[in-house]
Amino acid sequence: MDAMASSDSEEYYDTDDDDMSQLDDGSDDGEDYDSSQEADDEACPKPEEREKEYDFETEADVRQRQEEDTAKISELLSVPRGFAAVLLRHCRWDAERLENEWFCDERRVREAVGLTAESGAPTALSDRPLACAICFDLYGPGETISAGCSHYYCRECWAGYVGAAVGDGARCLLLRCPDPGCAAPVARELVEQVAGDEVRARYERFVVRSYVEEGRSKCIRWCPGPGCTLAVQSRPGFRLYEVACACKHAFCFRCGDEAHRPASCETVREWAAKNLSDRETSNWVLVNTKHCPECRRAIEKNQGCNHMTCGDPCRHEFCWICLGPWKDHSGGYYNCNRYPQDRADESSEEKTRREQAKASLERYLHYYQRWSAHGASLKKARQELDGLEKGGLDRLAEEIGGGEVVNSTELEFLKEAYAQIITARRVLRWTYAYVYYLDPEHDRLRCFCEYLQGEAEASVERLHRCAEQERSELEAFVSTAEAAAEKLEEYREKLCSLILVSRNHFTNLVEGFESGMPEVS
Amino acid sequence: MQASRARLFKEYKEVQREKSADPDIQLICDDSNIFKWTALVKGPSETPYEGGVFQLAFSIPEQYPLLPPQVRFLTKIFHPNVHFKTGEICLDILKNAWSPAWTLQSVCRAIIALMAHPEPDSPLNCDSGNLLRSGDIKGYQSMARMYTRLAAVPKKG
Ligand SMILES: [Zn+2]
Ligand SMILES: [Zn+2]
Ligand SMILES: [Zn+2]
Ligand SMILES: [Zn+2]
Ligand SMILES: [Zn+2]
Ligand SMILES: [Zn+2]
Repeated sequence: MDAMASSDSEEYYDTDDDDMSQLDDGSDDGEDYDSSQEADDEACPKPEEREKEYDFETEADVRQRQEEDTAKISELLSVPRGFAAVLLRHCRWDAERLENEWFCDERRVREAVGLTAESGAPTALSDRPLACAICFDLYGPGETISAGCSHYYCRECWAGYVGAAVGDGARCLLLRCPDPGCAAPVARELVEQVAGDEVRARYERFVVRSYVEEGRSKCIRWCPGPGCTLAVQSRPGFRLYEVACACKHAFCFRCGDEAHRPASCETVREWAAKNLSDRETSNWVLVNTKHCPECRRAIEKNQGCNHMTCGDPCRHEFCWICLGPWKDHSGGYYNCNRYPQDRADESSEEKTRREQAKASLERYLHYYQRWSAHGASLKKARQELDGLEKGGLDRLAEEIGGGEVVNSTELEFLKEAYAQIITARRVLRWTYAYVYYLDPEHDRLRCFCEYLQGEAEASVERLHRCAEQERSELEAFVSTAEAAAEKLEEYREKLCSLILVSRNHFTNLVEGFESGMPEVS
Repeated sequence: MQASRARLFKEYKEVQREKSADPDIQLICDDSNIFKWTALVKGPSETPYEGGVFQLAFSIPEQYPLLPPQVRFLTKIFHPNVHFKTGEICLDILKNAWSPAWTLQSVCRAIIALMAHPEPDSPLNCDSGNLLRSGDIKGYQSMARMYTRLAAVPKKG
């Protein structure tokens, strides 16, 4: 229970393979870094070590397991490997189920996949001269081949047939003999004999993808991240919710969507459907240009943080989302996230349907705007993190105090800040969908949710601003190396403590929301 | 392209040889384009299409026989699985159940079988589909017979 309720920032670091490891230990990063490591640890304690909930598997790992399963079945049922794979796929790669069904009623299973008794082998060569039934050309003995049945075709026609099916997608795994009256399956042995390298490779890929996608096991899933080929295998005993893949894509293990804690998969589905149906109205509201509430100057938001500062001479500080003064957005006064209930009450007292519709739209837009604003900030933060990883840290190290003060490995804490911002924005974003679906009558629960949300939001805004704006001040700081080092240290301490605060907030937030808050509900 | 041409040429020779073998089907290849064929099929007996001769147009893709030919009725026909205006045919073997072992000749046979056994559950012609589904066999038959007489029976003299 503990493991699944903790904030996913921890999971982010748990993917200790390859590229993330630099965040966890700087063992081979040189002396400079080692000496600073202690201070770093003091300021940014790592989340406590936790048992791993899942493992990554490459396509090759998955293929190997699949081969093992297939070999076992092939031996047990005394059928060729290719037929064993056809049978296993039919039973959703569940060897136990296949064994049961087979020993219960072998004929029925054979019929279901087209393995009639005559076909003992997945391929057969004709022993006499024949016309290929696709191209009608004449061939000598041994020149035409069948799927173990009595329908022989030349290799070229088979290659075209298999190639077209593979080009069509995963349905190539269900391919049968071209004869319209014959159900003999086209097994892997035949594909290997007739298809070229490229088609064979694609076919193999469909076979291995099928093992995970069509498999009955709920414990393994392909990472849906773009271009990622890793599979995630949950360890026994864990009910896995969210996965942070080594490719950095964070996703929900259950629905495969982007990570969405603390909202449930059902909430996410409903919310997506709602957004789709209300798209036009919400867009209209969002594209309206915003103006500084003090001086009415048009403001364009080009940073991720929602704490806006108008240009000189106004310098008015306000919130991008609610346009309220920023001074109301700190600490206990933070209430940008609160839906003004009296507004809704007032209009629901009016009995006309139109006003009720308006109130419900307003209520929806309140949550939608915040959900979407956090989404935009999240995207920004991802780009920032990307930039830092692709040379941004090196540039920054050269910038500060003329490059004499730090090396880039000592600036890794900035990446941690962005990783936390990303997690926090994502969690916050989904709390808005979560609160939208709370019973509007249940004031105590909503207020409590909003309280937690408000705290967390204030902390991420502080963190985001510190990581973004105060960093640019650091870059601009021109002075002696000594002064620069001092300023950097000050900045590091501040940012690290903000990371810590934000992590705590988000652990509590996710725990609170996911427990349904029994103390108030 | 070369493979499809070769195969169509063989089908052409087969059709010439078998000319009298299947009296219900007459396949004709376009003089200048081996990818364009027409067929004349006889309406099956004991159906409202009996006595009619229906013209089909074949347009054959370059990937034939890996891909199915496109076939439509040129003659107007009142049938649940044929679009009344365009002549488009809803038949599984012309779509996902296609196999390269089918030939133009066997496609014609499948279409004749479809004329005798309509599938009212996947209608392209809703009027006739509804008639059949609501059990109004008589209504369907009289409409189909009327269109057969109007469009498919060769005028005499
Ligand atoms: Zn052939
Ligand atoms: Zn066969
Ligand atoms: Zn991935
Ligand atoms: Zn989900
Ligand atoms: Zn202003
Ligand atoms: Zn606000």
